[in-house]
Amino acid sequence: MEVRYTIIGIIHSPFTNQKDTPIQSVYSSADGTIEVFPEYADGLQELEGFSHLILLYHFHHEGPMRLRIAPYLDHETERGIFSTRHHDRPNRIGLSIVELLSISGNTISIRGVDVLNGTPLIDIKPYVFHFDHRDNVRSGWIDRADRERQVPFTPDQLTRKHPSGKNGG
Amino acid sequence: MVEGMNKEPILIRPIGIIHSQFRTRGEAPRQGRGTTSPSTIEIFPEYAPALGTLAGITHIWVLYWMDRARAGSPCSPSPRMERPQTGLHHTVSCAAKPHRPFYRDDYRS
Repeated sequence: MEVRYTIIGIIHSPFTNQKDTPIQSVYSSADGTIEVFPEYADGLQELEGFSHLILLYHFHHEGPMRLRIAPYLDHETERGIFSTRHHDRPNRIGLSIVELLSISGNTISIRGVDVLNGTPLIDIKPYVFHFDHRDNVRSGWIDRADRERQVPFTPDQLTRKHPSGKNGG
Repeated sequence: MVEGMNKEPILIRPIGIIHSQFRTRGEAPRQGRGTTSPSTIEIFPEYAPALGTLAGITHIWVLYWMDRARAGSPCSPSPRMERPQTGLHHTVSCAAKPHRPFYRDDYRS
């Protein structure tokens, strides 16, 4: 069985190469725009009332499918790809929660962009606090990695650049 | 529009099946937090190694295909909005309605 998705728009961002692209929206202050294809523009009605959007998109750059990966946050240890947000997944679907700045026609201005310029957009959903936030969350290996470092990760560590200068993949 | 942009459809292969007690559309809650009923996700064996260290993570994002969603939608598009030929994105983005093919929810692991 295969499922087929139609691209509904394009995300425009300041990032043109992977290693300079932030790995999480929460650590990005970059602005970008979403160009929703005109045939879907009517679907944006009422969206302006939401402060944040969930974006689902396709990691369109080439890459192998990997079931185990040493993630950007911890270049040392391989993890199951499903316990990471890494792009080399069986289905190359990305997810970001971004801040909605404004909507004009079929163009949405957003902040906190962490994707490459030209990323194909699969879907937009509103972030809804009482649906989407969770209390008492444990974050597995990410919590452990934080504890081992004694300090939380800083934005500087949240880059795609391998500590040795090599691209972490 | 980005030059050379490929608008070809994206094909996705299911990596597993969600087993729940809900047999009909009407039974299923609208949001994951609307139920305390436990369910299971069967990951196809070829993807099992990718679960790795998921232990220790309390919540996961589950993205799934709404295979039994009706073609119509309670979050109706206005008459001006034409239904794409693929029939996939005929619903509007004003709410996280289930009658949209691509949906996510959170489950406690």
